[in-house]
Amino acid sequence: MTTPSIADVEAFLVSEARLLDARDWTAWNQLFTPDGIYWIPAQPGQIDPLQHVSLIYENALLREVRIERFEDRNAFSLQGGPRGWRIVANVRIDSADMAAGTLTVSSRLMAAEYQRDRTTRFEAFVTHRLVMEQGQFRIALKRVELLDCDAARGDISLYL
Amino acid sequence: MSIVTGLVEADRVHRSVYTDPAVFEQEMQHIFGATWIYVGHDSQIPNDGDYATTSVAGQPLLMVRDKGAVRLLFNRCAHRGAQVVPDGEGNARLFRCAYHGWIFNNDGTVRTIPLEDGYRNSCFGRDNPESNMKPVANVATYRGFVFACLAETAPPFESWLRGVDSSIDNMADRSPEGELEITGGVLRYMHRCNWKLFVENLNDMMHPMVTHMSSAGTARTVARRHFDKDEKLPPAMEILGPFANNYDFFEKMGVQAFPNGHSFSGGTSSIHSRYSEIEEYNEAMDAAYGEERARAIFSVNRHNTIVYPSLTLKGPIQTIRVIKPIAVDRTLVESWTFRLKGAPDALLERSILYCNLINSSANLVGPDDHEAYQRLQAGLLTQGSDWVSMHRNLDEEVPNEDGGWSTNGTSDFVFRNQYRAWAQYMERAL
Repeated sequence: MTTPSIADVEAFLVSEARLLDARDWTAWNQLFTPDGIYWIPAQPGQIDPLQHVSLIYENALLREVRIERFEDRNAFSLQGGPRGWRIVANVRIDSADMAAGTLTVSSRLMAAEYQRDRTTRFEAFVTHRLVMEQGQFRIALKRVELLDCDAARGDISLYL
Repeated sequence: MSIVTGLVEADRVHRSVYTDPAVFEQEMQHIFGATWIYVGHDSQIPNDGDYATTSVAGQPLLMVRDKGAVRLLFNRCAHRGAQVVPDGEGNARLFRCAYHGWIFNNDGTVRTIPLEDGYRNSCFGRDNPESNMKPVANVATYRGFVFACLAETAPPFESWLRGVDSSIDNMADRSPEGELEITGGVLRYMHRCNWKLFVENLNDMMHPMVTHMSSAGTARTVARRHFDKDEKLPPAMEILGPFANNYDFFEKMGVQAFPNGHSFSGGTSSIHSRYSEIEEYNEAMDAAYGEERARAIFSVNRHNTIVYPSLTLKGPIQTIRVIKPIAVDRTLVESWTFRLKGAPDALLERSILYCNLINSSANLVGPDDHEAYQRLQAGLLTQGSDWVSMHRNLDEEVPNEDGGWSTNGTSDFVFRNQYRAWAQYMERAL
């Protein structure tokens, strides 16, 4: 298997971000491997997700709950329909093991979430652990380390 | 007449207790500045020179271990008043002010004053205790939980804590070694509401089945899709599901309230009582305490304990949430987790998971509470009525064995009891 080009990786990250912008949570969730994890740590450089708190650490089951809740009319904190966009930049392939079909990709993310007269902006270092399956990328881990992940903060309503 | 006169009645409070900045200022002085406030856990600073910054009523404080003892200092240079130690924790032999270089020992006494000779004609200088970082007047520790009272005269600590001391005991007793260690970081969630709305909600049993249906109810639906009826659920589903339990469950959980505004919900059952057993842990507890005593410890299962006004805790899941009022409509809630010393890692990992799922600002449960608080904060600005109802199950409480009162889970008695203490604190100042 040949190593994917940086353009391939960038195209994948942009399409992932576009799915989130479009609130197509189900299609986005299908990008994950069955044991894939979505993680927003609470500490810069946090390695341990089990013995240190995180803002989000979700497997497929918890993502399924969150995604169904997005459509729940009684999800009161989501009333007023938070909407968001994401810019992905500075994409780099940090490592690749094409024998195993895995690669680690890092990028920078700028995102914003708007709800009821309030815009919250996010800046983050993002790491994707990707797996190649039948020529397609699958997400084994998406780790979104917010620049201010250890700050006192208000709600994060959407996936970043 | 004080600005708080007439704001609290037997069964209702005036909306301005949540919205008036002048009331908030009085609270910081006469409640947070006058009674026992949780400032940290002594396991944060195990060794001499270990320090952790903290705060009470917006005042920066420094908790430090000095010659084995936990000391609490006002984090202010004696000279011009700069905060000496920036927010954070670490270990230091000395503390040096960033402005004019005054250096203080771990106990706050001044060690070095640059060009000290210049003070020769004043009373200031190393011989004068005015040159030291000032200690907080009253500090008390209970099972490692450190409380401070900024006022010169503090309420007698042990009798102040009575009724909810047993909740702290039960959390610590759940360690085979009888000790807790704070670990796993902190989640700091800024709430756009008055601090009392958060505190009241922790013993409000009429809201979970409404507020949390979209998260806990959905979790149940998803769990049913993936697991058979009798199948063991993953810990995350065990944690989320009970938030959607029915009225009857929360009613029967009951509440106990005590003087000084303290209370706890649950007692022998709570939303935490159906978590899966962890065999290795049970064995460690049996070995440490004997089977009978271990069962007795586990038979206490409380939901939320409120050590009024600033500390709330969950013994069965080893977490605390610490309330730090910022402004009349701003409250910082810190969520901390503990390791039960001598217990397997699975216990800490369950506490961490719980905080991620319930207390994080990005989770599915807390933001719906936060939404309710924000709607309260907004609704209370209307002229629709000046009064907030606390009428439910009026005069139905009965005395309990521990010097407090016992009543049904959905009673408003806990709120009435909080405001009785609130009014006493605020009026004592007159």
